[in-house]
Amino acid sequence: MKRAIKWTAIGLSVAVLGCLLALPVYAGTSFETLDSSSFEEELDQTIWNVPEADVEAVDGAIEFTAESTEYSRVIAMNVIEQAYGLEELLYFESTAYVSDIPEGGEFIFAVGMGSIESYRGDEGNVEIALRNDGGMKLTVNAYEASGEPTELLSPKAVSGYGTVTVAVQVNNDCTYSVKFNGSTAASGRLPYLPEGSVGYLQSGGCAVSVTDVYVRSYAYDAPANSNFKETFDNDQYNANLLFSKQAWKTQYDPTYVSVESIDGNDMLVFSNAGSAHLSTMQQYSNFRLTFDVPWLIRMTEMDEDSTVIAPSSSWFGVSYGDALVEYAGNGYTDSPDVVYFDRDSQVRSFAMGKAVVGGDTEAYPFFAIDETRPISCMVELVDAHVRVGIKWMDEEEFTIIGEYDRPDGLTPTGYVHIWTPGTGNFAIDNIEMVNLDGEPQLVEVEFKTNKFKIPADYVWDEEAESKLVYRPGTEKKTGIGWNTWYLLIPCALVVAAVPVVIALIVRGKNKKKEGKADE
Amino acid sequence: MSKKRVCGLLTAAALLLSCLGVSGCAAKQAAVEPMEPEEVNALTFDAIGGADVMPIAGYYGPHLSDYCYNGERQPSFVTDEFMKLTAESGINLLNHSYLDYSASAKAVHDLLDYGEKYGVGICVYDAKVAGALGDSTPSLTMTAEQIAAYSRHPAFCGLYVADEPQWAGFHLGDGTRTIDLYAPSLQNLSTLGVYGYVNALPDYNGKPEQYRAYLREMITEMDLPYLSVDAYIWDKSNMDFHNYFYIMDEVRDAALEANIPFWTFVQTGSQWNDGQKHFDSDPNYVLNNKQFQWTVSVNLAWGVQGIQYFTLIQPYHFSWALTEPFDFNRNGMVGAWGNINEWYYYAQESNRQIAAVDEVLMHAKSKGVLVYGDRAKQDTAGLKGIIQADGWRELVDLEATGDVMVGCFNYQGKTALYVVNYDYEYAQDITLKLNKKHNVTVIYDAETEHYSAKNLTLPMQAGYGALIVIDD
Repeated sequence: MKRAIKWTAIGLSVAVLGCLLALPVYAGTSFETLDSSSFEEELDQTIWNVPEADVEAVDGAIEFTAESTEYSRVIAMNVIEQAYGLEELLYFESTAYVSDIPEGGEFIFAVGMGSIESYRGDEGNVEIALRNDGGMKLTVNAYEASGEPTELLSPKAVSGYGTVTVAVQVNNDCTYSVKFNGSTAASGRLPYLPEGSVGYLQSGGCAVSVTDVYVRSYAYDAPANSNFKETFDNDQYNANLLFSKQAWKTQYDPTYVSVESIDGNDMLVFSNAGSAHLSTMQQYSNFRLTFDVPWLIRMTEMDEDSTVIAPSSSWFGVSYGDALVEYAGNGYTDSPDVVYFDRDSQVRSFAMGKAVVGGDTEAYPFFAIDETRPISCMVELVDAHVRVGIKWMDEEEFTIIGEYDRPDGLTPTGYVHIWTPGTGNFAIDNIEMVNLDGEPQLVEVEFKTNKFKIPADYVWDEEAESKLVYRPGTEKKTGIGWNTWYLLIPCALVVAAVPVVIALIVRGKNKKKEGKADE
Repeated sequence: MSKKRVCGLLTAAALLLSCLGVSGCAAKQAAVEPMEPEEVNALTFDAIGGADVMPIAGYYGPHLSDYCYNGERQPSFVTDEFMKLTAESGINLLNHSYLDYSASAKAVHDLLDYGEKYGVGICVYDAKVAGALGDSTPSLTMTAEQIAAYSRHPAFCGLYVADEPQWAGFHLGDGTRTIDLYAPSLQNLSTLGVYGYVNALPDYNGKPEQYRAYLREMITEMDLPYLSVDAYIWDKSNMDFHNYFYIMDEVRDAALEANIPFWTFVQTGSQWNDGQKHFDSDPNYVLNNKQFQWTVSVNLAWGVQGIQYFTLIQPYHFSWALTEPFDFNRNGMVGAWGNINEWYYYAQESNRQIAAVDEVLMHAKSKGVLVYGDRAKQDTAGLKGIIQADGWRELVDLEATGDVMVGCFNYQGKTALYVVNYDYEYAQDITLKLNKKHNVTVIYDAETEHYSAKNLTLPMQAGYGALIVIDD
């Protein structure tokens, strides 16, 4: 389903939404709104469809001119559907300035349109019309079949020119009410549930400026996810189910979040951790999360020089309904709720204004400075109701130490996290996640290790590196040492000269001897 | 004239011709004036072997586990095993381990002990000393008290203080790490006789006047015993060889003027990630071994007396990738999770040569650089350190098929030459032509040979360097 309208924060007052708590909720729900910001500058075409492209936003109003035709209409892209377990289907309120409606013509505020290109009188439409029939009249008709209206309000004379406000509310049991300028004009039960789009239709020639609009509807989520248990055995976990991150370090060494072995048992250790989280990789709405905390630093550890090496841990908590898996910092501040196990051994909730929502400091002083027993924690969300449980690890059953209803009455869908805001010094093990949706959509997930590949060491090929490769065309000489080329000629001269010299000397001596003999 | 005399003259003539050679070097037998030994002020450390040993540093690491991701924790590198690996690479100094004594005293002490065991000097970072800047700088007394805990350790070589300090006259940046802010700390250390590590900015923007002033400001204000700069050439976005040598030239010049040594950096890989983004690597990692040796060789030729490798360990964010979480092969002698990369072996190779030649180079005064070949001349055009001649002293000329760079040194009155095959792709034979026959010592590929020659032909691997000492 394409969600083309703006999502708003889940945060209405209990007074407004008290009526929504009547029925159990089995899956994650959230509400959607559409308002005048969608045409403040221009008609947002991701929110509104204008099939004939002949209607524009002018000065912050959707402007239907006298030149409009019967095809001039504006229809919201969002298709409203029943949200399972909620009472209300939709609320549509709109203010318009009516300049003119031709005699016999009508301008329509419609809900339940089956298409973003629907026409007046189409099947599925519930039309609240301002009709000029010898004076302005208000009518309400439902079209179970095209062109065949079921009259819900006979034409009722109203002051239809100038500023008018029409409000339509429809519940999932088909009851409805229509208010005109603040007064109930019609109510009762519709012949069918008008799931579909809301918008504006006309018979043509209507000069009407829609200056304000508010639409409220709901989305139904039953996310597909997995029940799983993670023990971190073999120094790893399933990265298709879980993701962990330390967003920032602390000044203490070492500071990390990783799978480590403590007393021979592998677990996910938050050691001097700064802001850090463990997240599910799938979204959940109704769920139960349990986990052991087999290691927790309750008393600050110092060395012999009184230097802090590991401070006592910060709180650790569970958030749910989160938009992201991975956060750059303390993303829990954006969560619909964080249920956290605080340093005074009480449990608090962000959704409840950080009020204490549970705890039994006598039976479970889990953060007491002299306490050494490891604990197990439980956080459960079903039908907007949160339960918190705790036990010592060696106990069989959880003790419920707190519970509350979410103020907005909703069960948000999203990722579930275990957080530390830093400095976290604890470990978690034996995580178990169970989908508690009324009609769970469970999927199988393959195992994918969280471990990443570390490359092998480079292999140094000394022989290859030492091989001399000469630029093509250059000669290669061998050996460092004498340059024989430069000595060759001189040596040759010497070699050639020596016998000549010897011959001359011998000849000279012989002649001398001959000279003496002559004497 | 008697025949005997004629014969004698003929013999003498023949012998005389034998000394000339084809090149007709008779005209070049002019005597070379002896050199007076010059003072060489090299920075050395007893912890790594003393005055004959060139500091060879690994920058960044070892450190404790610094990062974790999805349940996996980076190993700690402050281990006996890693220090042994470091020492085996030839690195003898760690100038920035990224441990802070103020937070990790035990780890620093462990590192010092490992350093002593493996002959590796350690520079300590202590935020209480070097992290408080300007007016917050601790007093001399406080500094002395703080460093007393580790400065007497045999492996202690000094304190890491600053990397690339800023200066309004050259590059101000955010203005939080300026020379004047660091100066008080360095002056304290200088007074205490403790070496403070500082590394200067390079000049990639060609502002010579400002750069010269910056270097001198650093030397003066920080009382530096040496000048270090990090400039990298094997970066695809910045392959300007002339700029590289320009930086070297200016730093050398400033160091010579101040009579202090200068150090440089050699990169181990590239594709760094200061911006801490996630990206997939260009699989053609730079640099290869020949380029690596070239880098070390040209630095030695220019008179560098300290080599630093950036980085010893890959910072974890330097490994961040996109398709996969990490690329541990992208840079660093050792990847962020402990795998050995190729640059470890390249450094080991170059360090063997450095260890073989440092006894000379640490006592030699750089007198300039000769260049041969169009490429080498172009890359060094107009630089002060270039000797505009075909030779220097006993070296009268040089013949080669490619470009060559020769560093010229006064080694205690003797001529020493550091000959570099400037071609980082191919081997070549380089022939040194001396004015006459000399006894020479040749150190190449960490092997020492002695020759008596007038012309010396050296078959040299691409990028490699050889030390030639004219013994007489």
